[in-house]
Amino acid sequence: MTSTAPGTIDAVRDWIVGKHPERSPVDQHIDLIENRLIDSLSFVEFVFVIEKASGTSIDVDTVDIDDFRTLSAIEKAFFPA
Amino acid sequence: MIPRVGVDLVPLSRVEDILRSATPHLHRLLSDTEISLSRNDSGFDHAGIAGRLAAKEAVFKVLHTERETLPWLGVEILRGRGGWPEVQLSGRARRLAHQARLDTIAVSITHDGPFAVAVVVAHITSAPQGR
Repeated sequence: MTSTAPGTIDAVRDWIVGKHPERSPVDQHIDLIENRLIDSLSFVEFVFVIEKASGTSIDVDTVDIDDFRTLSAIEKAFFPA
Repeated sequence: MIPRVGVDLVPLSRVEDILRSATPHLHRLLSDTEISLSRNDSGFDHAGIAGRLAAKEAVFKVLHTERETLPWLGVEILRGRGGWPEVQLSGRARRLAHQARLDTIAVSITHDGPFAVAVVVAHITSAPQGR
């Protein structure tokens, strides 16, 4: 991963809510994949959004899918304090 | 040989969302060759793109993977002889197909109105394949 610009998890949460306004608020621990907030097609844009918000570059060929399951996991993996 | 089938449906509205997204990412879903094949005289062929995306998802389904993300660029849906779609695998997608012991992968795509559908049929060989 290479850092380009810092950000917050809020941009990721906002993107999910923008796609699924009926599911707002999105809990920090809800499984985004199991609850169909993210599917394989939207996952690509989702990764892009995380990259932009976190300032990191993500190699989708080597990711651990569990790092994307919840906002809490995403924050831990891509938004280090 | 044991057959394996994958099917997927993509609404054309998903393609429209992708093309007007604030985070342009079509190039992460389709290879340069596929993007070239997905253009017509009036610009992007939305039905063609939806069919290609459905075909990729259907290919991924026959791989029967766990804890893997879809290797979008490693599954290319190209134009074969006679204009029929054909699947070309590379990188991680190719490795996953080997691990699944998949032989030939055949694909058929159709679209009508707001949807595109793709069906993939593959065969599992009886013995593990070499890399």
